[in-house]
Amino acid sequence: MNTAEWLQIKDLVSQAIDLPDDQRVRFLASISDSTIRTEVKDLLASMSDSADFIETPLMVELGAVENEIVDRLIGTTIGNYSLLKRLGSGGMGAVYLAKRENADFTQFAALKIIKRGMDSEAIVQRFSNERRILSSLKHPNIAQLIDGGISADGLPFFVMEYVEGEPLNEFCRIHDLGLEERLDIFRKICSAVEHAHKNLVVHRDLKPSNIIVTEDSVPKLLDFGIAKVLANQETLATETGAFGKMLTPEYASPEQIAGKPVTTTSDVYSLGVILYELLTNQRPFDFRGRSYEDLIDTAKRTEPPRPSQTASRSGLTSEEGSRAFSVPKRLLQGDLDNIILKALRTDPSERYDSVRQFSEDISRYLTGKPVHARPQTARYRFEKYYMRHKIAVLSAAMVLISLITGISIATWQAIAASRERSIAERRFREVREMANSLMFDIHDSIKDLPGTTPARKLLVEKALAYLDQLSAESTDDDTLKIELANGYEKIADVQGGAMGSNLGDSSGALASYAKALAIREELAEKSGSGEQQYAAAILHSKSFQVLMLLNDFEKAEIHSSLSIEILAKLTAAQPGNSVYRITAARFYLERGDLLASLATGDANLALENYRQSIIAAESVPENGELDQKAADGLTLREKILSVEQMAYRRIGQNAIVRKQPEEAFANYEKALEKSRQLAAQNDPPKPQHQIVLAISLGNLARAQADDGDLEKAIANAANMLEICEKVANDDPKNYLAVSQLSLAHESLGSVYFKLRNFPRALENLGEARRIQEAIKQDHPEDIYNIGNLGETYAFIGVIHEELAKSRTRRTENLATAAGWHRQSLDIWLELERNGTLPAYYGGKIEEQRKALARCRI
Amino acid sequence: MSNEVNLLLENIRTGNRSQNSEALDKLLPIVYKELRKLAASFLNREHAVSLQTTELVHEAYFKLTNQRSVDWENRGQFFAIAAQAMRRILIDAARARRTLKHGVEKVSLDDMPLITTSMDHSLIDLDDALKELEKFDERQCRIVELRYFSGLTIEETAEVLDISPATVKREWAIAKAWLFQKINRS
Repeated sequence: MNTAEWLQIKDLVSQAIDLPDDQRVRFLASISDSTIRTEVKDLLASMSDSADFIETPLMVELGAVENEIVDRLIGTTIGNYSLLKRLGSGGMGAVYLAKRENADFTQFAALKIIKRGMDSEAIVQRFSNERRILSSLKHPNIAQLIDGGISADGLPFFVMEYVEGEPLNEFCRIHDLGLEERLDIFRKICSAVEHAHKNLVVHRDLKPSNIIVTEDSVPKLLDFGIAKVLANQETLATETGAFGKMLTPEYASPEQIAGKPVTTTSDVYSLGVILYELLTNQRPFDFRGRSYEDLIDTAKRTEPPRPSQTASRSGLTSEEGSRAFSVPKRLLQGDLDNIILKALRTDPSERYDSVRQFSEDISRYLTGKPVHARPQTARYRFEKYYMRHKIAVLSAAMVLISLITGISIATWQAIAASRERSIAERRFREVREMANSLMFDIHDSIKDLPGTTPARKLLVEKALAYLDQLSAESTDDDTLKIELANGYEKIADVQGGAMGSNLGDSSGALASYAKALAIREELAEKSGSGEQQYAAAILHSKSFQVLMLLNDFEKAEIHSSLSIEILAKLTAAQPGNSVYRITAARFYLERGDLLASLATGDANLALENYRQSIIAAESVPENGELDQKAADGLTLREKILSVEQMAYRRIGQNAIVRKQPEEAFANYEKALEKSRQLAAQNDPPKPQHQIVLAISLGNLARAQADDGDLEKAIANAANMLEICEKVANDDPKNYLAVSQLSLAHESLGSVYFKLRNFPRALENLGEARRIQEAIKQDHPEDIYNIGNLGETYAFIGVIHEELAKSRTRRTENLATAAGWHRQSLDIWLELERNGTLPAYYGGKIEEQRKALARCRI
Repeated sequence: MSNEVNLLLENIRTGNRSQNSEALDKLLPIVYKELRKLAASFLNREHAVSLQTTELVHEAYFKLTNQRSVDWENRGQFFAIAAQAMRRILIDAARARRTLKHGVEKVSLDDMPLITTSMDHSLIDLDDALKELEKFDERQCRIVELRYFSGLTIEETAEVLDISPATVKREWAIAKAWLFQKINRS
């Protein structure tokens, strides 16, 4: 190779690096010289492989050098300070722990001095700049400047308050701080940065390692090494020289990385990254092994993933069972997501205007007031997405959308013009078809494709706008109204219905259900039609289900009572209608669950509803209708059996809580009988029916174990385990099967416990715990699983207590037991704090506190 | 205060091409010798005393130039030379050990850095590849020396070579990719 060829190759490589994959392929193909093309291709391919290659200096690699150095300065005196040890060292300077002594006092301080050989004019200037800035700042959360001068060697130095503590993230980890404590510390950091900004100082290098937290939880901001004074609030461009690029890319704002003007909102961005990491244990972007150019590109064009999305990826349980902190997804969703993302907007003008606003929004979150941060609109996100995937989106959605909107606009224009009525009417029909079928056909055809969520959202948005327009215009045409109600209901299902895949927009779903409901109610009132009333009841039930997922029990209660009221009227009017009866049975069951979930719920009322549910289900007359499949693929008989077994189970569970073993047995036996019938409805049995059977076996096994009938208990629990394992193996994504598998282990473990086979019991419970912890990570909203996990922890604790009685290692086992009870208690406290502690778990907090007291050595 | 090294550095900076290369030829062995001595003494001490490569080079600089603070303009030149010297010291040690292992030639290892031998082979490969690279891209070769053998950061490398950090970063990435590919192909 000659130099000219090499220059050409280097140039091509530099250009290709920045290109997205698809464009890169085209770019490479356009290189005519095949030798050069191959060389460029190979180099690009080698680029990622060689990311770490010779990256560590040889001497370090050989283990011959470390960061701690032989330091001539240690032991010497600079100013009035004797240097004790080196605390840290950067490229240009080093910081020492220093001591000043006189007759009255000893003062420890941190002394920062330029390294010998590094005292270039630029560095000296930067150094005195930092000193000047520090001297202008006086704040409890900023390390205070004490002194400064020139050493005997002629090197400039300054002395700061010595902050003893841990770097921010380390501190939070060691002390295992919770959400509110983390936010409190973070707000103190904000106040320090705010103080700097008031003094026209932009820090420009905010990162957790520059924030030391003292034992009393006081954070102190250090290292104003690349801070800058803004003259008269003007903005300034980052220097293009060496210092400008000394920032830490992970925490730097996009404008900093791109070398554009930096303002106080750049610090807002860095604070956003710090908070993101503080709450999710991950940074919004992973820059490791990325080229500088790539980095600029990422920061410029990409919005970070929502913290709540990231949170579920992190916080993995390590082998010791300790957990990397991550705020539960559920707590991040909504306000905290919005707050953090507002700080992290690419465009500085879209961020918080000031650190104060940022901090105040967190304060509003903490005090339960509405926050100012709002999620970006679907349109905004779509535009971002569109920029990135122009071609794919264009073909997948834009064409269809423009088709739909194009027609609808044309239609309205045509109608408004009032001319060519027949054409307008024909078009109008087309639009109706579009809204009622085509829109959903499009949606259904793309819903399983990865990355189409933005397109689906836009589709929903358009469909909704269209329906709103149509309903505003709608006259007395009842058929159209029914279509509108159907349309709203379908859209709501897609937005956030409780069943099936949805877009996660619960409030949107509730609004659309409400619109559908309004139309149905109007139609029902006008015509008195049972069909319309039934449809309204179903809408109440769907709203109920969404609200239950949101743990908004109060509003759920309203929908639940309305749905039952309607069904009671309908059943009275048409006693022979099987569908009404079975639906009523389902509504009673749902209401029972609601009442059981309410912290203030009345267990007897819940029980009453479960009994009503069974009565309604059993009252369905036997006839040929029962074995016909409905649209959802289930026969009426299947629906009856599944409601029945569930209601019996609930009564059994209730009896357990009331300590009525006989009643529990009777109801669990009934539940099992109904479950077996249900499974027998299909050959081979449907997976969901097998899971139901497993659940019933498990209930019975646990009750039998409690009652001392260990032989039967083991048989039932083993049977349950077998069924769950089979279903989970057939379909590892079957969340219910996996969840039940954990309960099967728990049941079996409890029987072994009764048999005093503690190692086996621990084995099964350990398995249960692992599964439940994994589910908690993926589905933090599943409070039933969290409850199960709380029980599992407690049980493992109890087993260790037993071990402490019978073994020599008493202290050790008691300590272990205490650890598990602590974990259990934390779960119940967490549920209580979030207002999601179900009534039937009410005694758990007290129970675990007592257990902990028992374990005190 | 000027000594021979200072004079040579000054010549390199201000002189024409031939003076320049003449001065370089004279300077390299001096720096090499000093660094080798320093490296050996630091690396062979009983109680793993350690230091940063850059500080090793600084020590050499102060010793050789007999200065207390740095003449900033000459420092860059010195670093570039020192990086080449470091490369030679470490590669020579690797070659010497390999020779020794094969029992072909007796070499005094008295003042060679005692470093692990597991990397010798790949180090020699890297050196060979660097020689190849130097033929058509001398600057990339200097960057690799400064970064890998002398342990300079991107910014420091940029200062020494008087180019922008972005350029260093890009050239460094390409050089690594090329070297990696070269070594793994052969």
